[in-house]
Amino acid sequence: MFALLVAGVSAVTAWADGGRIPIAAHQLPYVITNSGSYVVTDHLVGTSGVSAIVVGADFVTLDLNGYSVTGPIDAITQSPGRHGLTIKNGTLRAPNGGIGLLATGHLTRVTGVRIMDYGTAGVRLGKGALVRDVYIGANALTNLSSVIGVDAREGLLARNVTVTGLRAAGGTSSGVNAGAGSVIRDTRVHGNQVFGSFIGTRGGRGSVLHGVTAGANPAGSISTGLWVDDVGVIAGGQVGPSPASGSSRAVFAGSYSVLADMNLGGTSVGALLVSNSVVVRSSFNHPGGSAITADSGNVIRENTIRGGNITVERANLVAGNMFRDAPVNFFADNYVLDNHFTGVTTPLRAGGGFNRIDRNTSAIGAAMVDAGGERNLVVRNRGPGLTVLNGGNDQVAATLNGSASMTAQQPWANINTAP
Amino acid sequence: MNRKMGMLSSLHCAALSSVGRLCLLWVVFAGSLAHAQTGIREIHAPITITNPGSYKLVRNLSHGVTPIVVAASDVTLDLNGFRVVSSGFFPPYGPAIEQQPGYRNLTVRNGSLLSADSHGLLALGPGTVVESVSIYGCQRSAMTLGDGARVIGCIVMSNTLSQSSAVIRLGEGGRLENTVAMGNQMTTGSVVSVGSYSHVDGVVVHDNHFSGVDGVGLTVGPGSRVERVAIHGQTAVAGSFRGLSTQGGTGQPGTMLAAVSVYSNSAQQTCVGIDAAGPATLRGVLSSYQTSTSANPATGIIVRDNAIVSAALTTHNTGNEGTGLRVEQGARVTASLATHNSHYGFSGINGAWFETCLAVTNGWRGFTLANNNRVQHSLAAGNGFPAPGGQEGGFRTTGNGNVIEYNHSWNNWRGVVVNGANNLVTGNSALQNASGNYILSGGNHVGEVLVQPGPSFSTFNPWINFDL
Repeated sequence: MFALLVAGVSAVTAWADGGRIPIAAHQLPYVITNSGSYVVTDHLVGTSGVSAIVVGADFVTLDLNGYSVTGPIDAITQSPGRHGLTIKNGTLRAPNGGIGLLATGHLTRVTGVRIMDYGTAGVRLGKGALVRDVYIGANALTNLSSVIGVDAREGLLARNVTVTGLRAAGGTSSGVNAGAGSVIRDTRVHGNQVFGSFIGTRGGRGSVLHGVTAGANPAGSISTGLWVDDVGVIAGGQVGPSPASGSSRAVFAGSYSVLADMNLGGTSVGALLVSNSVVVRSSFNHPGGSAITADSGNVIRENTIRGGNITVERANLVAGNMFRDAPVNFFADNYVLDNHFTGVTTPLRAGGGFNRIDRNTSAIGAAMVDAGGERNLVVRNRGPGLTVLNGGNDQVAATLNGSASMTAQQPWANINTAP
Repeated sequence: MNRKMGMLSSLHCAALSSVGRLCLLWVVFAGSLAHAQTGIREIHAPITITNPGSYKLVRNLSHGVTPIVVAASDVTLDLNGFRVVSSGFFPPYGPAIEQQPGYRNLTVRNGSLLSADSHGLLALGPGTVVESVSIYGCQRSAMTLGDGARVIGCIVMSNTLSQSSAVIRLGEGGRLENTVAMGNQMTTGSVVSVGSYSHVDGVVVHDNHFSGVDGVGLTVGPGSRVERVAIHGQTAVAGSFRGLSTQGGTGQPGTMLAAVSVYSNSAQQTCVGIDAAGPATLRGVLSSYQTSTSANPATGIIVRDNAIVSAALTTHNTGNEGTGLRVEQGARVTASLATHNSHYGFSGINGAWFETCLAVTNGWRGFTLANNNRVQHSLAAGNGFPAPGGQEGGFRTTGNGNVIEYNHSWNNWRGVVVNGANNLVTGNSALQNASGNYILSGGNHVGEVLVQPGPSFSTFNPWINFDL
């Protein structure tokens, strides 16, 4: 055993900077074959091979030491099947169309790193990666069909990531693209421009996006700020305008998602929901567009909507929202309760039947409810000049005029509050 | 300085006298500790640290007992990107790093730990900080820490625990931040366990596996705060599983959960996404695809005692009794959605208040109410299909003293089904339910059912239920 230990010590070829193994420019391409701690001692520019540095061992820590590593194609790659790589404190470049960091093994940690001048991706990571304090700048080539800033598989944990300056010629590009069960927080994706479609930050099924912002990402087709595939949570984030030839959407949420405490504005669509989602306590500001477009089975509660309508299909619960210059369009089987409207005539627009329209209030005159289908229940709504259009086949409580001495004789009546 | 180095090595030998056969190896490295100009002492070999200060590894360390023993307070240990391994030819091995009892304020950062037979880091004194450390291949825990610990930016993977324990355990008042626990194997216990008054912020618990009778993804003590957490893909092949379990009870403070997703976990026995004991507050949480693989209950969320739940979503929880959100005792639930659960959307056992909730397409019932619950301003649609028979549907009471008011029930197997006694049913509306809009037993308090009153109807009865 003595011999083994001595051999272990002597196997360390050179110690510098506290025992870490230095990597200098003349050693490129550098292949790491032993677990341990490595430090870059100069700006590195690879001119041969695929990568400037190849990591061929588990649990390697590579301190870029403030220097940059430029790859002949990729800057740094991890060999297949290797895990536990830590990269920190420096800059990666892959100006010939490669990837800044290609580490598809499990549990890579990337902290304090800038990635510039890359090709199809800034970093591409395997499962369980941890990314913090990372800046992804402009990519090198503008003719690629798809570019992704951070591309990671399941279980990504990302914090304080900035993606900006990304360019692409077509296809779908993303600032951050993560697999299922990821947590992405305090991340900014802005100032990117593509000719195809763009997604600011995308989380796979079961992911949490919190405190994530996106904006000023113009796209030739569709620009989406935040995206969760299914069963995701998006909370506490902000999305601003991104001009797009197709449509610009602040949020896209697949089925079974929670959207809470968001500030969204300036996009043509605020939130595009598939079905069975919850949208609460969020602010939508989309004049001339759509605040929320959803299919069926959603809860939309305690939001403020300025401009842009809400359009939902069937079996939705729309309750306790504040609408300014915005109506709610709904088809059938919905419960529309206790909302308040200002600045829009006919704010409650039922395209189908079997809805319950109950206890809503409006500050503007004229027709308050358009009960387009049949067998809608319209009760206890209040507003000046309240009338119900197309209510012939519906169950509509009589509209009573308010007065200076109202009594509660007809508790289900709709109330006309005109002077 | 050399005299000091010799003293430290001797201390280490004394501390490890039970394995004296290894002392010879320590002597090889006597004098390996050197003061650098920065005042940070370099560690070249296994060591017992007996003085406060800053230490830095300058190579990988491997030792068959405990490579680094900390027998001082106020020690900062920079692993400098290196690996500390407790392994060798003579098991049992100790922890990779062990703080001896009675000391405090240990900081370990920037490297990786492995213990083939014990803990990666065992530091039970208060005030430990662990930052940017990867821990793998351990058999007792990745890290077991005392009160007031902070764990930041760590990765914990591929540990195989041989006994009931936690992969990551923090005492009271801890903070666990920006950490991933993935691919660990356990018999029973919890992947992550934090004590009372702790803060868990930004954590991924992913793809861990249990072989024993009971497994938990994340256990938190009373008075804690949990936010920005994803718990995904755990399996318990022989027992039960809970994704997130909060502890607490009468007279104890509650736990707050926000922006939490518990997704796609499975257990042979019962499987629960979030099990919140005590007066928890849940806000913006999602529990989906919890599955019992052998005909046992699966539940998205259970709240037990005076909880407040807002914007919770449960879906696709599947077992022989698959429930979205279950209230055991006295909780208020608002703006929440339960859908595609195999049996029940919302279940109130005693004293629940559901307000502006939506139950859609659950297998048996949208809302099932035992005793003394209230459901108000809520919508049930498409529940009870394919028709299991019996009394399933949108809203159903099975006990006494419930209040069902101002709800809308559409296209369920049955609309509002009231069994038991002294339930109050007023102001509801129902239509197009396949097997009846209202099925009401005697002995309850029910507002008149008004059938299709037509346009411009008038009534002076405030208790009307509408059959549309």
